[in-house]
Amino acid sequence: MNDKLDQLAAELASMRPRCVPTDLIEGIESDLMTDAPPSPSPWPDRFLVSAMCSGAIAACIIAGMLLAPADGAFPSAPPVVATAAPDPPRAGDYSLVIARAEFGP
Amino acid sequence: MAADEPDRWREWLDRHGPALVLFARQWSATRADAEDAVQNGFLKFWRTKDAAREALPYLYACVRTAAMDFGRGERRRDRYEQANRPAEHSAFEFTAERREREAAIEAALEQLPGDQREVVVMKIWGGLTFAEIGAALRVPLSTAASRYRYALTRLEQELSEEMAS
Repeated sequence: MNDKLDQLAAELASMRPRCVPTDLIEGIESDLMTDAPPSPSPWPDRFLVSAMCSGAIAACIIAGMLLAPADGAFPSAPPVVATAAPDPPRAGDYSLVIARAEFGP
Repeated sequence: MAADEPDRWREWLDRHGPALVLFARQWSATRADAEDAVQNGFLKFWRTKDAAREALPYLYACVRTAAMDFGRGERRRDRYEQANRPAEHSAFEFTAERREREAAIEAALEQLPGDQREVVVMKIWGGLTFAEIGAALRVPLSTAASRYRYALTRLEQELSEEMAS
């Protein structure tokens, strides 16, 4: 730019715009004062609660696995003993048994 | 408003308020309208400035939008009143010894096309760089610089003719 324009720019810069009136400042202040503080997001709380619940469930599962007895530690049913079927009584068995009862073995 | 900067907005307003009112005056029927537009624009700026890449151009952009919106509404409402509106005080605080010259400058400033006038106000009284002006107006830096140069040339011609007459 030439000197004339620079001079004009300097002359413009020496002019002072009027100050901002107090009612404008007060208006801005009152509007900013009534601004509600930003409410914290509920998401961090939700994440915390869900993480705590997940941890508790995992702890229960682990404790259950540790405390649960191994298979076979407690018999669930009496063992089945295989026995041979008795021989059918034969003739003379009764008399032998009666003789043992009377005279001892 | 952040808790650690309760009164920082006052610093911003003290520093840029006078230039912002002058800036908003371009789209407003009265100085009071310009002040209302500055209030609206400044509040928007202060509440959202953290999202802005450059604060100062964003402040001017907010005030510009607010003034244009406000001006549109006011224009409709006051169309019939403007002819009889009483003359307002100057937008400047004139010095006693240069009152006539400064009044002539203000009158010449008001005759500038809007796109040139806003650049002059932002550059001279707002202290913005051409890059910042370009960001605020969403025009290239070279466009902001050329508008400024045209504006000063035109002002200089107007004032020369005024002095000659």
